[in-house]
Amino acid sequence: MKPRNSLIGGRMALVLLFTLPASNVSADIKMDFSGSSGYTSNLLSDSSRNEDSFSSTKVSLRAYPHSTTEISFNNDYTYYSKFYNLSSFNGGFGLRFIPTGKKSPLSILFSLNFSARVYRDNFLKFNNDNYDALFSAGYNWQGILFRSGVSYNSMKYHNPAVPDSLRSDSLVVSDKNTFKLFAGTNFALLNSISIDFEGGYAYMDYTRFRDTIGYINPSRFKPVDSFMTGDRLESYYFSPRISGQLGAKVGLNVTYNYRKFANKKDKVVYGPGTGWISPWALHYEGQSITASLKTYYLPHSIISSGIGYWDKTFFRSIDELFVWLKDAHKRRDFQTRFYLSLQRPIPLKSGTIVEPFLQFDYSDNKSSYKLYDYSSLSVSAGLTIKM
Amino acid sequence: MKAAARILGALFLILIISFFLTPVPEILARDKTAETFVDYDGDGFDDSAPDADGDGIPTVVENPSNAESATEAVPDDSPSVGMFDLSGGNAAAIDIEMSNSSAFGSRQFVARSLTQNRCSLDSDIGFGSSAGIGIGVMSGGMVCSGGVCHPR
Repeated sequence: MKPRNSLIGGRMALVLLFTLPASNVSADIKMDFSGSSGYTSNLLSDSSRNEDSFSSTKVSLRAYPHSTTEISFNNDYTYYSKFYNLSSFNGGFGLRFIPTGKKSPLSILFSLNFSARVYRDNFLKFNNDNYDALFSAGYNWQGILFRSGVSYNSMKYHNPAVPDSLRSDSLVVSDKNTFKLFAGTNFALLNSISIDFEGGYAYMDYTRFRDTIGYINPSRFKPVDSFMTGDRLESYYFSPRISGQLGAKVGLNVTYNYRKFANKKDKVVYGPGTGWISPWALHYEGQSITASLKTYYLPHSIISSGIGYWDKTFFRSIDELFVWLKDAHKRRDFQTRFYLSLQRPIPLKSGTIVEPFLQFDYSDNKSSYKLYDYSSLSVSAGLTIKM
Repeated sequence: MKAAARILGALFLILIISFFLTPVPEILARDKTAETFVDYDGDGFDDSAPDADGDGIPTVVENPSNAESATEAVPDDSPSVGMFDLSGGNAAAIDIEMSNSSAFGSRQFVARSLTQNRCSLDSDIGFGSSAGIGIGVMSGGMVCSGGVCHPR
């Protein structure tokens, strides 16, 4: 039943694609293409340290039936050499509408997107669809920008991350809806420093184990979702940023981010780890500080680098069944990351820009859950063509 | 952990001190009265700096001698000025003067701050190279769920 979502989305994309040229004779189309290959010393980002090489391609098509409207189609495919079953295709389309002009102090943005991710046969049950909507507005008052917006995401798994034999069809435990509200301001100091403050609230519907559960022993007559209940996770965040130029060719920013879950304490989710594609593995509360540097010292090139430090506390999780709830894993990570990239944009006379790039990324992760004690090194190179 | 915190703390101090010690670039100083420094995307550079060839590198950096004659960073598609300009620009003028994609690019440039926020519950948006695709790129790196990573 669930794959119908992708089918409907695919049909809508086709309809949009074929009706587009008829919508406006002056519609014009832009296309981006990217291809890259690389190596990672730790594909799964855990202590198993599985290295792999990968290749990615991405094609993005954007059409403009009116000066206020952009319709986009995006497709990307990632192929892994050793873990080829994790290779996946992601396709989608979106609409972006900006009714306000350049000289208006008020700016408004509407955005709608759909995307579907499809894995190879062994991981088909993790295929998922994403529906996104965004409304955002900003007002520039004497050089001070005030902005605010709301966004919504609905993620639907074609199959939940629970063994088929242990779940009922009535509850899809992995699907989630997320709502976000944000507001911020940006202003300049001394005409060379930019200060940006942002804060917000978000909530996410999710499914967790009931607090009163002792031992988790599902069976055909007592599926795993009978141990669970729906809940709503609430989150607040605050993030100041300072950025500016150091001389004519160096730009730098320092960003702090603090995120707090309001009602997560001791909640336990069903979150299979390595080898699974858990919808909960990404969500954390905590803080981070990052510093990024961008330079134009190398002629006609862009060199970017950054270092960041994160303190993350994740959901308590059960990675296997037939265990006591009180034995759920606690996970707190302290992560340091560093990246370096080199881009060499080459503008052609036709207006096309060809851009080779090279990048390096290193992560060191210390975790209270030993599975996630790891380091990871990645190197990749590729080419982007913007037409 | 402490070492990383110290490094970042030192970087932050260097940034603050440098802002006050580094002379403002000549071209910026000259334009001070005309344009306010604006950095919505957080890369440290003035977003309004002209980029004649659209390669992402400001003209003033690539060719300082042409900086004065450089045009605006993004062409203007909307002649009207008002508190709430929802006119969609002058459609007739737009058709004649520029393509829809260029006109939309102009609008998108003004609204660029609205497309970026840091409210994600999960990934590390805003950290990482924005070049191409692959590990460690696409505005904050790969999406890693349950240990499985893929580009955004």
